[in-house]
Amino acid sequence: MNAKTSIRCQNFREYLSQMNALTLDKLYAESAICLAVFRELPPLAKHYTSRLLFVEQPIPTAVINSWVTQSALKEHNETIEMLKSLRIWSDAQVPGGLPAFLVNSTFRNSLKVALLGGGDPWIIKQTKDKDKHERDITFLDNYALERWECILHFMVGSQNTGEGISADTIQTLVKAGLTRYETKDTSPSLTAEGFQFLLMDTFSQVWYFVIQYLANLEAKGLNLVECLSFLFQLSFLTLGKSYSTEGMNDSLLAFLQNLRELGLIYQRKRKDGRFYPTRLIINLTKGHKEPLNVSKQGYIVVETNYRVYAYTDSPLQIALLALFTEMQYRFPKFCLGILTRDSVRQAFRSGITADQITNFLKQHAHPSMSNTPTILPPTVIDQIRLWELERDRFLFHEGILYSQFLSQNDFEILKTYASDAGHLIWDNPAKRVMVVSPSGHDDVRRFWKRHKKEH
Amino acid sequence: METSEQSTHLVVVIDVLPTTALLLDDGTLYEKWLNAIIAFCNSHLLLNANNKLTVIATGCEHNTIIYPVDREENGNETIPGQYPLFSTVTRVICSQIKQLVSKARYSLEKAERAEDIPQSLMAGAIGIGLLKINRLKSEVDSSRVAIVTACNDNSTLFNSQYMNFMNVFFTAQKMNVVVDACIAVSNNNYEQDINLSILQQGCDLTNGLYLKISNVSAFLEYLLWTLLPDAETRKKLLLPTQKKISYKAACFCHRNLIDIGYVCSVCLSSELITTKTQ
Repeated sequence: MNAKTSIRCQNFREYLSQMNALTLDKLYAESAICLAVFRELPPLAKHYTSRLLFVEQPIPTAVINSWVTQSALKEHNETIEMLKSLRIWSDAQVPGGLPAFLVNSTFRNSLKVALLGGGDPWIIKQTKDKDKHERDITFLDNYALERWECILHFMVGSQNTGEGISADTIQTLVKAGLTRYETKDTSPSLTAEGFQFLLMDTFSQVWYFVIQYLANLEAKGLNLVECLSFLFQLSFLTLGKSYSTEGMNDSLLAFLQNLRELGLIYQRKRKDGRFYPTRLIINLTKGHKEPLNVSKQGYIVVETNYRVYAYTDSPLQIALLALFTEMQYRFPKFCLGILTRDSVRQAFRSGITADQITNFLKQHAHPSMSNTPTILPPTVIDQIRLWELERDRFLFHEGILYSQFLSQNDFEILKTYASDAGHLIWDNPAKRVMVVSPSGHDDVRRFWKRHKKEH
Repeated sequence: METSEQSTHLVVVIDVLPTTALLLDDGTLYEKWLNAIIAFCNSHLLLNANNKLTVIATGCEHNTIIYPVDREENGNETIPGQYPLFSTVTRVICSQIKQLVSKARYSLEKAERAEDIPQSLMAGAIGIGLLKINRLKSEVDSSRVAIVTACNDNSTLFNSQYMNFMNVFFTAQKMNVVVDACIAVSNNNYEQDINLSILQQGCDLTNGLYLKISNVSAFLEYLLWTLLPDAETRKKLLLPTQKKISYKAACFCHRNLIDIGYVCSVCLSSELITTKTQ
């Protein structure tokens, strides 16, 4: 009952550690993937990996343990565990029989190639000649955002449903549990997870979507290793430069079209032979996110009296606000909602968390709100958090109610027995009721029957 | 264990003076030395997508920022398999250094006639690095300077720039910039206690590391092990410490390092005590 159905955006590391050894080894053969994996590691792990980048033989555990100071020992052990779970390091033995670690040779070689060169060339090459229809970074940012919002619009079912959204994308959304078909022929509707998805920032949305997309990749007859490698090569390209599609096979071209639909790359025409990566894909491997640099301002003003003013007329944004506010008025280009306990609790019930709400409000705050250090009024932030905590006041247990005892004595005997055996959850002597855990129910009932027989 | 990733701006100051002992001993060593530096620069960029890199070459006549360059060259060819950005870094650094060294050689020939011991304008180069750091301050979380030089068996090198050095080191200290130095000395000189005491002092002042190495083929390993981690990570690692540092100051009259001297009570300048032996 208390289980929250909130979705969480996995990072790439967690995604990889779920894979089996065989797939991982295949992935590590690609230098672009190794580069992305390396970037995802925590700082200490990065240094360990680069220290052993040129070391071919196993390194005794004792030597590695002597690398860190005493105070960082905990982090050191966690780092080793992580490197092992990603199969970058494996257990080995030095000739003397001492325990040691060995760096995965495939990983080491690929990373070396990425750093120093010398392997197979990357599939994606820069275009030689100049583009007649050259696009600048602002254009790409706008394009990416427009495409991505198209998908979000589709999810909330606002305006021009289905236009420009392929069956593939819809299928991914449905498989990810973000939307579902109520009936066969209507367009899909949003699930609780879908609402949470909408409240995430764009970067997390893209990640979440891409991971879901990759999960279905093999069913579509595309090769996971090939696509993942391609995806990361894309993410290491330079923004604002055009690249050629020459030398790509059909499945990669199909994959490219899928990415184009999501706004991760820009291509003027399908047969154009050149494409531009957008910031959405470049940010995929960047630790922290640079926001899309579009001339789009925040539109939300929150006041200390819990009123939320939104200067917008986009149905998507209004629908999002309506998730956790009580809409009061709506004018052209402007609407007003109030954060009430009921409306916020309504949102909590569909699995949205207080953090998601406050982050959303912050992310879209009107420029005039940014004068204060917290952006939102602290009272509002605190109150939303308190409303969330309020829901955690109850602990839910299953139980069996014992009631209608004839005498206080009977009640006391049974209560003492149950509490001694550790089965008692709750009791009220005045009303002669008690609740026993389901696991202890049989035991307590047997005792009660025996007790009745004896008296 | 989600530690927020810190982005770093690294300024590498390379001494390209072609009179260094290292170069004269064996030409191939110098190439190895440069390759190691480039690999180190790339490793720094590899660590974090938001890391910034500036490479400054310091010669006896002028200092040049060789990376990043303002205009992108047209050379599209990348080294197969290498991350395109790294190829660019490698290409740019190599071509720039080539230019600088040949220029330096020319001026050196002139200088030889003048019988002047040439030395690189290291203090100025660090100064340029600090300016660059100041400009990019808002984009990164921390900044660092790494000095790589090959020593001319001459521990009095740089003494004439003493004041300039002290100024940049104190500035760096104030800006919270760590200054590291890695000095390569030729094999036969390793045993002798050659140390660039000015650099040693500077590293100590800014909590940086001072490394002296003789084995150039292991140069990259040294760099990756000790100079690659940022200040935050260094706290967690066990790294070599400096044994003893001489805090000798240079006198204002002859620019020699002195043990005892007169200090002016107003301007704190130190003067050599001339002991008259009669």
